[in-house]
Amino acid sequence: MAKDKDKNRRSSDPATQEMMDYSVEQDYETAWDRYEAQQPQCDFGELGLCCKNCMLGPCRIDPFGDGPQKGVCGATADTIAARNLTRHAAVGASAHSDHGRDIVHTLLMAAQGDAEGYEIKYEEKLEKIADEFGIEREDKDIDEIAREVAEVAMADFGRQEGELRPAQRAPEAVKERWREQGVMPGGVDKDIVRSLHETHIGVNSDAESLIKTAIRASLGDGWGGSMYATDFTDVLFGGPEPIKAEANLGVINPDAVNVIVHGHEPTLSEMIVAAAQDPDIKEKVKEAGAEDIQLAGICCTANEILMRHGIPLAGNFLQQELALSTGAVDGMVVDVQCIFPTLGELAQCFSTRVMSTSPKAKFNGVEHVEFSEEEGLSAAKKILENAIESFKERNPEEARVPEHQDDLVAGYTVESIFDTLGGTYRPLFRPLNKAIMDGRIRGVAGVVGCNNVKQAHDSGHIEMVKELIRHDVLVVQTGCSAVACGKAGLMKPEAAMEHAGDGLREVCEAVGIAPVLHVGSCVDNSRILLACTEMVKEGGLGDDIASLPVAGAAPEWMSEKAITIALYVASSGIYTLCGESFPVMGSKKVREYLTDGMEEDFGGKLAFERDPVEGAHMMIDHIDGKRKELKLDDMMNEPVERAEKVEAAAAHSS
Amino acid sequence: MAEKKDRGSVIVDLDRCLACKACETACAAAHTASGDLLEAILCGEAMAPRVKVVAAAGSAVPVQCQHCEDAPCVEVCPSGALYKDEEDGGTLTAPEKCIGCKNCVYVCPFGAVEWDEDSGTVLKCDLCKDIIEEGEEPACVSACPTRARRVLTVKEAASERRKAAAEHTVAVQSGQKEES
Repeated sequence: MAKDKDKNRRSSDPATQEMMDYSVEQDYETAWDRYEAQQPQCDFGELGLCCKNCMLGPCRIDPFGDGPQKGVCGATADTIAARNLTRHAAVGASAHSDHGRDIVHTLLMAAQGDAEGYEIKYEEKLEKIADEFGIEREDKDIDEIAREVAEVAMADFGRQEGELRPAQRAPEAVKERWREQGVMPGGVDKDIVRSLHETHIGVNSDAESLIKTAIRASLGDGWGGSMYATDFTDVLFGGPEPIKAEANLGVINPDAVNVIVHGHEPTLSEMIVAAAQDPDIKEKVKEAGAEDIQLAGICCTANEILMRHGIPLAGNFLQQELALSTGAVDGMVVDVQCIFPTLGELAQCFSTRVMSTSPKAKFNGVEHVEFSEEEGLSAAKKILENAIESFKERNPEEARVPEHQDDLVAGYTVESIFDTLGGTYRPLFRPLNKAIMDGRIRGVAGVVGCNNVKQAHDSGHIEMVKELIRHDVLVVQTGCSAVACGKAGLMKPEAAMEHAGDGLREVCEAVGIAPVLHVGSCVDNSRILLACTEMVKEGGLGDDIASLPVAGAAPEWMSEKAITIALYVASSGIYTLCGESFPVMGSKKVREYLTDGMEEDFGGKLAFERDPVEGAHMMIDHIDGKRKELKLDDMMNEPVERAEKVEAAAAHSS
Repeated sequence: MAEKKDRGSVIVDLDRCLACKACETACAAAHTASGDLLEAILCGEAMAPRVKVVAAAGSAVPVQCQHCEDAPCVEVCPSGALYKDEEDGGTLTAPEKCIGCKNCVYVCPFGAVEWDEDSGTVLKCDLCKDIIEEGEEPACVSACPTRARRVLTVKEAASERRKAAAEHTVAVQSGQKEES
């Protein structure tokens, strides 16, 4: 019984619970074990009061006030917390933007015919971007246009002067505010380097101006690096359309060659998808005695191929080890970001071959099959051939695959979301704005982000999202948060019947959508920014993102990328709720600026709350406040009861 | 018999412990040949802390030897490897006498005695006897960045408690007066 309670506290997902038990039985180590071993964790780090930026230190500020209040250089708690935050934001922006750069580079190579297996699949979007960038299209073939667009985009990363191009898509009011606050992003790379410079010893010590520097670099991610990643991934691999798929560890097929792609960049996973269709590969699969080749994904690269091909999701971040523990995975191919360094060690228990592919990320005990865009398809075939080889060595009796899986619909984008409606509405946001103005839909919430062992895995996402849709808030999702709700069955149209408030349900039924929409990977949070921009353009909800009845949340966040995302979302004018606090709470000034002062400067601000239901209501209150400011009609239907408070699900040992 | 001198014990204010584990590293370093963490790492010297910061119900609790008056570890030690310091009553070890029976490990109510595979003997807090004799604080106490750890004699500790209790009583009483 005590064990059951402990299990629920670690994850609310049945497949995860089952595999966690199995891992304990088999003595396979998981992140939860390592979390336990790390207890207690240092509060100086948690509070952001530890500085090791120079070797006068390391220094710590006493949060009780009677110990040292300054580092050796003289930096206060405010300076140290703000500098640390700025570094985190710069790293998060780097991760997304370096991914974005790779996509732009791939587009350039594809246009030049240098990238094996890549082509331009979404010409209409490329042409639209070319027009936006002022690139003449007449008498040019699509490759030539692609080359010019890619070159212009590439130059935005190293831009030394002027404003970042895609940031110009933001509503005028937002851009005006960014200019006033001095945070209009310029070059993606330049703003990141500037952040790092400012945190060197003896440069910027003013907390507020450091935070604004962090915001500038973050905006360069959301409205630059990430936005380019989304745009050109669509151009290269096609614009997603609503598509059905399944999610959870149950998608692993014991009779097939199972290949899991894990990581972030679609340049790799798309080639794996293409290679799996190759007749040679299919023949080899048959020869090996397998039923088929079963691809599945973990983390955001999974979301990329889910959105475009309906490839099933094996799970999210905290399930990467559990997928291996099934013993039925023949190949796990990884690239960058959110990959546990322990996978190689765990894989030794099975015939599974874990293969790293990026020159940026190598792992102990993991074989490296270098992936390059020049030979993308060949590398992908080699990876699949390796997996087929290990399938032959797999012992079927030792495999343990949980049955749990659920259906979902993914593939929503700014372009495709209302495409289904056809006729005069297409592809405008009128139906959404109208439903909000009429009081059928209360507002929109973006619920995104990671998994964190400090909370019951998935539960933060699911409980928050359920509470939001019960109160007629339409939810859009990306990343591991989307995977959580997909597994929980919230992303299929039937979910509207079961979980949505009456108003939202009516709209979902009329449009034929689920109340929770999968809009992609974590770089695809840029789609949410553009959807908000479309809502502003559509009219009736104010001329500013900050006036929209919308909110954002990252209930189980853990990565530096999430810090960057929260900063660019909030500074774009959106109230943003984080399930775990930022590591800045030791500074009153930083804490108060982020949760209060920031709103005056940017129209949006951050809030921190671990209880997902409480968090949902903080978002709902914010949305209601915005509705009131806009003098919108009252909600059409009777208010519903608030769900019971979820006990903060810390996995601390007790 | 002359009265024992109270060297005091390490008293921890749990509200101030931030789980940074500086006490652990300082303790481990203090018990190396050079007494220096970096030196010990570079020399490849084995290091082990005698104090452990343990997680309990979301709190961090540093646990170490309480230097009990009736120390069970001394009681059960058949070889005299654990003994009471006659001068100040501290519980100390004589590693050369340890036969490795580990009885002390099993009976310590605080889990504060540990068997060390490498040295083949038991490790426990010696209250930094050498350091204290030079008039300094134990390594774990001087390393604590929030002053959560302090050395107090039992008399000092009781006196502090009394003072706090008295202040609390006054506060409650004046609160009652205001209410009435």
